[in-house]
Amino acid sequence: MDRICSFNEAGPSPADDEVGQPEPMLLAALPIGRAAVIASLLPTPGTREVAQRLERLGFRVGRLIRVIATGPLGRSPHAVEVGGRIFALRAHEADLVRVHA
Amino acid sequence: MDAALPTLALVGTPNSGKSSLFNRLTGARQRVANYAGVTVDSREGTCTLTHGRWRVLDLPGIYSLRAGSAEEQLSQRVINGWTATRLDAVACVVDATNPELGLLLALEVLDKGLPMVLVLTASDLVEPAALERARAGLEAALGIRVTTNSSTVRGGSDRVRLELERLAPTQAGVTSPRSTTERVRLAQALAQEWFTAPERSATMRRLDALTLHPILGPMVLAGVLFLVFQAVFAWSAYPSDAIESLVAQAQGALGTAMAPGPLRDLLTEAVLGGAGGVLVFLPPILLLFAFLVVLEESGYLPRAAFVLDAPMARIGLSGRSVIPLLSSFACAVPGILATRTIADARTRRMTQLLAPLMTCSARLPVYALLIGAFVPAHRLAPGVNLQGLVLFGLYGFGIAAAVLLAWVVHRRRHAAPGELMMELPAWRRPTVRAIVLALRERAVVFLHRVGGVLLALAVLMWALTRFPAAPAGADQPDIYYSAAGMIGRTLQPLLAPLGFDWQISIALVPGLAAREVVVAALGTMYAAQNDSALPGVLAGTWSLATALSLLAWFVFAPQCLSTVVVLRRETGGWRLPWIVVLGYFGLAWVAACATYQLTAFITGVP
Repeated sequence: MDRICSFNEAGPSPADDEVGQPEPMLLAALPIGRAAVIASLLPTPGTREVAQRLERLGFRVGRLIRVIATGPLGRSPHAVEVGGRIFALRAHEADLVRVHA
Repeated sequence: MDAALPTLALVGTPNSGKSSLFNRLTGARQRVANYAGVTVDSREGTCTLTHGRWRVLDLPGIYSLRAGSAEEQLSQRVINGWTATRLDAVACVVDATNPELGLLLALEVLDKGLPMVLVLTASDLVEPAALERARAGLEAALGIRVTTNSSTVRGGSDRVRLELERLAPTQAGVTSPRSTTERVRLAQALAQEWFTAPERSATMRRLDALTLHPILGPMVLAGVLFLVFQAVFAWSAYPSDAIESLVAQAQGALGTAMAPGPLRDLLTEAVLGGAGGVLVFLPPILLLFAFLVVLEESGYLPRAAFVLDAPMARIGLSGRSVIPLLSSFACAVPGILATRTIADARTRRMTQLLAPLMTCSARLPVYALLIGAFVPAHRLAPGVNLQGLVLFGLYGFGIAAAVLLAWVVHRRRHAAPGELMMELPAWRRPTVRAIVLALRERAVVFLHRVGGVLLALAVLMWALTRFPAAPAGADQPDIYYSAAGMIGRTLQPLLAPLGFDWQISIALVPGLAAREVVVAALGTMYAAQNDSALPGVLAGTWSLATALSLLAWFVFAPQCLSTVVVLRRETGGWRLPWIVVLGYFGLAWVAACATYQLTAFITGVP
């Protein structure tokens, strides 16, 4: 891999740290019960339709989201509360959702 | 249904209260469940307004007019005007406790240009004044008629009727945003302006924390299932026995009232016997369904599906397979029908394939007979005896076979993970009315779809076992010379490695219609004077190896004809039905052969 490129990807720049806006994290990394804000829905080429369906169910940027339960050892599936409703998502579905804690 | 009537379609998101409105409009009985996707067919009814009758369609719940599961696509095609059904009006049902998705759908439907009434449904969670404010607000914002229908307040459907009468044939001046982004923004804005999101109560949060917990959740599920199956076995014996004795009385009465002859035999043995054979299964099936309905109405079943999703995913199934498979313990037919709620085609097919392996109630009489004859009733611990343990083991054998089969198929495929994306609806207290309605519907489905087939087959089998008649001076039972007997004797060489003699081979033939008929057929074959003598006769005739082999056989085969018919209808082809019939016969043969040879080797008695 190109060295300069990997250096640039190494983490948030100091400027980001100063304004207190950390990188969005995976929904799965959010502790159970902690509310967060949806930062983005990031579909991979094969999951565009999944992202669209999530959006229709109410997973939209800026909304509050909370993980209320997970499977064994924090793995799939995740029970996620959004807009007053709870949805069960498998890990690969939940992984499309990035949040700001 | 009269196609000339103007047609109104009810549209809404799953769980929006659409089915309940349909019931009130048409007077039809159609269940509303707490589980997304219960309306599997579009239902039809008629509704009388002052200026005439309307044809009312209840379409399956959808989240959007774009792609979804098979049943969602039905609604989408009808609303988009891609089917032969021409809609004259649409009533879009929006759940006031959860308005955003409903409003988004309403905006999409509005774009189709059909005359539309928006119906706000509300549970008792929404206070009436707030609902009225929202109604007036939406009416002003959208420029269409908005009305309310509360399932707990009478008269709601009258208001809906009133609005339908006022419906203008076209809706000039009503515009809906054309782009999805704008629609989403408008729906969000309207929802925020006119509705406040409901707070989940502390009790609901605690229930969720318990039932969804990675360790406690499965324990709760195991406890619930144990209680359900325990209760089904303990309680269904009484009504089943009562039905059995009623049928016997009717047979006796008819037998003495009519002159002897083929007609009397047809009525008493085939018709009454066949009907009795069907009705006896109604109590366990209804009891199991009653429990499932309570669990479903309360909102627990989707949580059970959540808890089981991870283990199911490992064998290529999903949490959505749980409810169809649980229903299959009563009868595979409603189980296979319930697979319609599985959006992913591969998961759906796999669930349909495995449903017949769940021990349905029709296998019970055969299991009960053989266990009663060959397994001693040793008491192993308080409340646990050897016979119960063997029965439990047979259930486990069916499940284990299903798991193994699913695992093998899944391993060979290396497929991408299937989807779950399922809503866990709010907890609700099940109402008696909902349970009664749901049970009535299930009973009707069972008697109609299964009962008709079983009764017809009972008559057919009766004829096969009776004709042609035995020649004069015959030294074997009459059935030996009948058509069924010929089939059985032809099959016998094939079944010999399984330890089945020609009597068993013949008895298996009527079992193709319905497994439980085998018990009666064995009674005929071994010329037992009455049912209570049969276990003793069998114990004296068969070796343990033969008995165990027959039990293993019944875990897999035969697949009854109603299952095959339903599979054909649900998959729209003969591929899966043939796989099920031939594949499970093969598995039954292998399992029975292994059981027989192994037991004969260990006991030293062939």
